[in-house]
Amino acid sequence: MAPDLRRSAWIVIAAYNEQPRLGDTLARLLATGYANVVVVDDGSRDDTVAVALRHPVWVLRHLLNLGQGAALQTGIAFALKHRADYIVTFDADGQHDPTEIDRVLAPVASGEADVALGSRFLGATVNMPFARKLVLKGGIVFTRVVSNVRVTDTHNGFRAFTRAAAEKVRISQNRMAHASEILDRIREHRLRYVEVPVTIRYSADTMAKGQSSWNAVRIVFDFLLGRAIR
Amino acid sequence: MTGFQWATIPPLLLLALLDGSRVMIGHPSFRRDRLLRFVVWLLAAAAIYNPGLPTWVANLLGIDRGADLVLYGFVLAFLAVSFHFYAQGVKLQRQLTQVVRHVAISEAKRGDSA
Repeated sequence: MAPDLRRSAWIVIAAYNEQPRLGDTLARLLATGYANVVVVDDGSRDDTVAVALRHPVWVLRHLLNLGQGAALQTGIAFALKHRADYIVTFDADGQHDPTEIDRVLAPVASGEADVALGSRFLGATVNMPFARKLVLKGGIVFTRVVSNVRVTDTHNGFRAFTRAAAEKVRISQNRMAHASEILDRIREHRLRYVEVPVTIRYSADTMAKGQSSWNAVRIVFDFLLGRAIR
Repeated sequence: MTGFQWATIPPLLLLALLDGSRVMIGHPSFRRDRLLRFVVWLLAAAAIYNPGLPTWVANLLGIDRGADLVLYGFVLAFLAVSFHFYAQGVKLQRQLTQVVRHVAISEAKRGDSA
C-alpha cells in the first residue's frame, strides 16, 4: 500500500471499557504504519482513555455512554474535519487483524467502490460460537428483506469508506443497529460497495464482553423504529 | 343530567373550548395536537351526555357493545401514545448525541508514544 495512503486514510476505533485489550490492538495497528488513528472512548468506566493516550493516536471522549454507532460517527466526523480521504472502522477488542486493513482499503482507494465491507463468511473466523453464527446468518436474511442489500456479513465492524461515502452515510443509530443502518444508507445513496474477506478472532474475553445473541431482537426493534422516526 | 354528567361534561367542554380556540395558532405540529385533543374532549363529552352514542357508533362499525368500542379505542390510543413517547425519547437522545459529539471533538487530545 502506498505510503501516502497510510497518511490519507484514518482509522476510527470505538472503545467502551476496552482497557485490557486496547493497548495490544493499538500497538499492532500502529505497527502497520497507519499514522492517523482516532480512538473514541464511549464513556468507559475503566482506564480506556489512559491506555489510548499512551499511543500516538487522537483520543476523543464521550461524556456519556451512547453506543458504538454514536462513537463511530463521532470518530468519522473528526476524521472528515481533518480532511481524511478514506476512513476505516476497526474494532478495539482485537477481533480484527490490522494487516488486513490494506486489503479492505484497496477497493475504495482504487476507485472500484465507495464502501468496502469486511466479511467473515468470505474470509475466516476463529472460535466463532455456533449461536453467534446463527444470529449473523439471520441478520443476512433480515438485511436482504428489509434493506434489499445482498451481503454475506451484515454486522462486521471492519469497513472502509471514501470521504464522499462517509459524508453520506451519517450514522444516527447510536447502538448496534448502526450496522444495519449503514447498509440502508448504502442502498439509499446508491453507493457502490464490495465485500472483502477478513478474519475475525473470537476469544473468551471478547465473547464475555461482547454482545449477547439475544441483543439481535433489540437491534431489529431499534432499526425498524429508528427508520420510522425522522 | 346526572351528577356525574354535571361533574364531567362542563370541564370537558371547557377543555374543548381552550384547545378549539387556539387550533389555528402556532407551529403546525402544535395545531395538529390541539385539534386532536379538541376532538377527543368533544367525543368524551358527547359519550357521557348520551351513553347510547358509543353503542350506536359501535353497531355502525360491526361491534356489539359501545364498551368494546371504547376499549378498542383505548388500546389503539395506548399504542399511539407509546410510540409518540418512544419517538420523543429517540429525538431527545439524538440531540444529546450531538452535544456529546461536539464536546468530544472540541476536546480531542493527541496521545504520545511514551
